[in-house]
Amino acid sequence: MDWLPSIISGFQIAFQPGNFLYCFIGVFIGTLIGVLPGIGPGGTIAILLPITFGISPVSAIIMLSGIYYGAMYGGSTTAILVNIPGESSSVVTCLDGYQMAKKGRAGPALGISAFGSFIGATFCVIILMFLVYPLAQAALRFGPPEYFSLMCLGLTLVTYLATGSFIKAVLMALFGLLLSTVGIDIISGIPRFYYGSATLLDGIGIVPLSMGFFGINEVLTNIEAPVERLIFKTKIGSLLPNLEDWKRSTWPIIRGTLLGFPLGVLPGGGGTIASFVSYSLEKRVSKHPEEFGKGAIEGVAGPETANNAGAVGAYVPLFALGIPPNVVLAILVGAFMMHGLTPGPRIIIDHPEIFWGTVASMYLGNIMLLALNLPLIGIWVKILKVPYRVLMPLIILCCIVGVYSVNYNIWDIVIMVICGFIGYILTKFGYEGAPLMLAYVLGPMMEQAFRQSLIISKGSFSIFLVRPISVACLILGAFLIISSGLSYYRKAKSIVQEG
Amino acid sequence: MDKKYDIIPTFCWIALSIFVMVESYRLELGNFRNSGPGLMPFLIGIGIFLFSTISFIRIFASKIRAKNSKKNEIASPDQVNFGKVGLVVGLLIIYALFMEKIGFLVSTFLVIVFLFRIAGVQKWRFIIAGSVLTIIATYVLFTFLGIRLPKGIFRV
Repeated sequence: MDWLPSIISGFQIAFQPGNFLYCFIGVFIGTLIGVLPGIGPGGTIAILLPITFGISPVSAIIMLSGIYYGAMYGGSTTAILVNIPGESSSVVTCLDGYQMAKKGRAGPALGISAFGSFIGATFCVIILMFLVYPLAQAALRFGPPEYFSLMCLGLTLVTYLATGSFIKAVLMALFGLLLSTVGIDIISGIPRFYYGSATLLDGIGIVPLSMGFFGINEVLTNIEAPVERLIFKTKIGSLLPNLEDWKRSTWPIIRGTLLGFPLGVLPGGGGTIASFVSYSLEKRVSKHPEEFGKGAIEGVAGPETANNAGAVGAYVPLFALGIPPNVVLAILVGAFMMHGLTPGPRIIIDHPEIFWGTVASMYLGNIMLLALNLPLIGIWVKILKVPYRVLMPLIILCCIVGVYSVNYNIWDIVIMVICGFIGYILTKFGYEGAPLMLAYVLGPMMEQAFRQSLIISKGSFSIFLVRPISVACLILGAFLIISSGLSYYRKAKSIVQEG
Repeated sequence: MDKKYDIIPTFCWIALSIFVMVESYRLELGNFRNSGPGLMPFLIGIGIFLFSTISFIRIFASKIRAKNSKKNEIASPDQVNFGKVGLVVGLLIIYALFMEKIGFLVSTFLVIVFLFRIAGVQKWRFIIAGSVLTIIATYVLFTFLGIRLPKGIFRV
């Protein structure tokens, strides 16, 4: 593999005026939605999916990726100034970031957050660039049994790492798999669960489903309980951290980068888990753990670096294996599919411009984000003051026009609204949308791999147990399920014994 | 939502799993050597049935524990406002069904006005101006992107 020509061609693609503009639009929207609590990158990417129809695939992926990693930057602004995480990955930033703001140190908190994010993300893009190609080469040797077991493990990990109940997460994943079976069967060509509807014959589209579960659902939740935003009235002051701040933040940034990347690669990973793990690690290794929660800069630098590193790391399984490790990238897979592309090991060989163009755009995007988040911080603070009651109709309108424009079919709007309502009800009962969405995207691939494996083995399940990679994935998945069951059993037993 | 209501979705899951298994069986399961279109949904149906049954047993066991410990664990559910949510959902479905007949501009104007009101915007001047500006901006943007929006009976 000639790295240098590939990297140069990637930068040539990223620097094309159109792609450069889409990269900027992506990171700008990403920062915007990161700043605004109530709408996440998943919902935004879903809303913008149809718009990308009119542009080239590489521009579309560059823009949508920009939204994803841009949101990681924007989320910290709200966490530090308002004590509300703009994104789930910024939850822990609230703990010390807001305390720093209260002490009149909002500037250095925002500054170290942006610098840490930039350093972590840029370093991880370099690792991503060199790691994906050899991994993709190895993945080319995978057969259907390996793919099936790997996807089973991915789904198990996503459900295992879900914040709520494991059983609820499994049920949502199974529901997602079920929804993916609606429409024409990929092997026999026989339609399933369509009940005479021409819309359902093509299956439930990823756009109405994701817009419903993430766009409409978020709007309905916010109508019911609007997020109150009380901006802390303080002078932001100088955004540049002083020498002492840098001294205290250097190791948290390094640790955040090294920790965030592998945690992002894991299924169910991405920025959120990386930021939580980084915070607890920083607190443990700190010489002043008592300062955590009272405005320790390490508690901002580490998690903010880790969540950006994790966001970049999440691209490794997407490009190398075609398996999205989290829900936002699962929706991004929808963008690939809409443009007739399948992410995975073949994409680097068949469409190198997509991979290298996206990777190169990440370098540019991170530089743009640094500029957007430091000198222009005042704009984001003003945007924070826009009330949700003004934004809500706009979000709904974008969802409606977006979903209609895919097939010019009003039933897609109905499906989106119904999915949104189901998502809202399920959220009320503590069911998370992420396992459903991931299972929905992986569903067709899983079914195909499962049935192809059985055809190869003439109906014997031993095919999954004789191949080393496949059996390793299945054992790990079974271990996670058993350990989850055991922990519940121990908990239940102790409650019974206590009386 | 309070945990005591967890039984409602659990029953829905069980009902869904039975429905899926019956429908998948009708689709033809085939065998493992030559699987039919119903095999995968049937296996998923079994999975949903198993896990929703486990969920049911957990809820049942926790209720017995609560009874035995004589603790009054019945709490009021979270503050919910299904009225507004139901109104938005109903409004959007009606809008979807009539958008092509009435036309994008007129129907969307009406729906945006309603949404601003539901969201709690009080000033009519803001609502009308906001709705008009939003629709014009959306129309221009999406038409520029090559998306054809329905004109409806008013031909606008």
